[in-house]
Amino acid sequence: MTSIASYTVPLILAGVGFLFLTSKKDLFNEFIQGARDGLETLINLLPTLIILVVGVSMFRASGGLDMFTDFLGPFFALLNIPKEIVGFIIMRPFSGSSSTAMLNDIFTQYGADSFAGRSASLIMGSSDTVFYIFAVYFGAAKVKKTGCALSAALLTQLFCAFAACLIAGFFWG
Amino acid sequence: MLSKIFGVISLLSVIIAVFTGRIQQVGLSVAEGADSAVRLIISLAGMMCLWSGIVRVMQRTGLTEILAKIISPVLKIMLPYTYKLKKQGSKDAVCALQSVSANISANILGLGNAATPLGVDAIKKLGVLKNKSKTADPDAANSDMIMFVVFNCASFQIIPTTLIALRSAAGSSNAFEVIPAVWLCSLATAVFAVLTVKLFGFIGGEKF
Repeated sequence: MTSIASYTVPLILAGVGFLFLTSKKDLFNEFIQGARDGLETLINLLPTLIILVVGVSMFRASGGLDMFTDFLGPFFALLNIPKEIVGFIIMRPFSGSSSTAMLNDIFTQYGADSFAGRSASLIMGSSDTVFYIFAVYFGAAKVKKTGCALSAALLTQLFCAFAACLIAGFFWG
Repeated sequence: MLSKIFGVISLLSVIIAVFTGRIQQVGLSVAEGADSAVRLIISLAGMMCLWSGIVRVMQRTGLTEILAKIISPVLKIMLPYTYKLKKQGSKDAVCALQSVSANISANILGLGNAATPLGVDAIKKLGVLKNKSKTADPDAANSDMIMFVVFNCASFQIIPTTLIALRSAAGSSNAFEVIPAVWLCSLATAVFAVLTVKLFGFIGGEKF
């Protein structure tokens, strides 16, 4: 498993190099453009991230985060979800940058390779900001009655957290 | 949304700190937080730029078209109403399905900035199709629109760039090792999303 995984990244880069050599398109320029877009995303993220990371740090330092996760922890424990990631799970549907701040908080507190860090990684990769998507998409379509959509989406997020911990346990447990 | 989130968190923090006697720690955490946000962005920069560039190269070498082909049969299950109209020869339905497919491909490639305008375009077209039905309520979403939006809340990315950059910035011994597990988790979540919307629609008496 580890040996195959250690080939993946070098092979992807070799593949990109191969494409550079064989393609008639100016792919190097495309790479530069993509990298610039990535940088722009980060620069746009910085001002938002500063205030949100400050918010999360304050909440942790005040002891509020611990109170919050102690309170909701038992409910999530029924689904085998560790209480370290409860705050992150609650934040996830509301805002992408806030959940990035929470995820980074988990990584610094418990480590990216801890069970909490790995399960939170899976949740981050498999879920999205429900409330933002609803506002943008249903707003654009001028729809007011969304039927079962919100409950289905939130149930899906909860399932995602449950599946993430199950899969993390299976892969690294 | 963000202003409310910060408002609630900061107020709660100060109120709780007064009771727990940790107001000094909260004061210190402000400078630490601002500092760590900047350090985080800087440590993310290398990986973020590299992988955004690689994804763009993949996109330009035809991966988008390949993805569209793979997605097409899945859309048939997800959006039965739109597919029915397509069968009846509606050009708008073909157009709507193309937009949906473009949005999902962009999401899979992790092109968040491109995916949102494509998704807005797709849901608008689905809305136009819905309003062609005489029985449709103009204020209400139909099952295809609900399916599209809920499916968008389950994310599926080939290379989750931000996640990998975050993990490697946090000193993970192997930032990439989570990728196969992320794929599995995303797939499970997406399947659950589709089934839940179908089940809720079935309970609600909708015909598929």
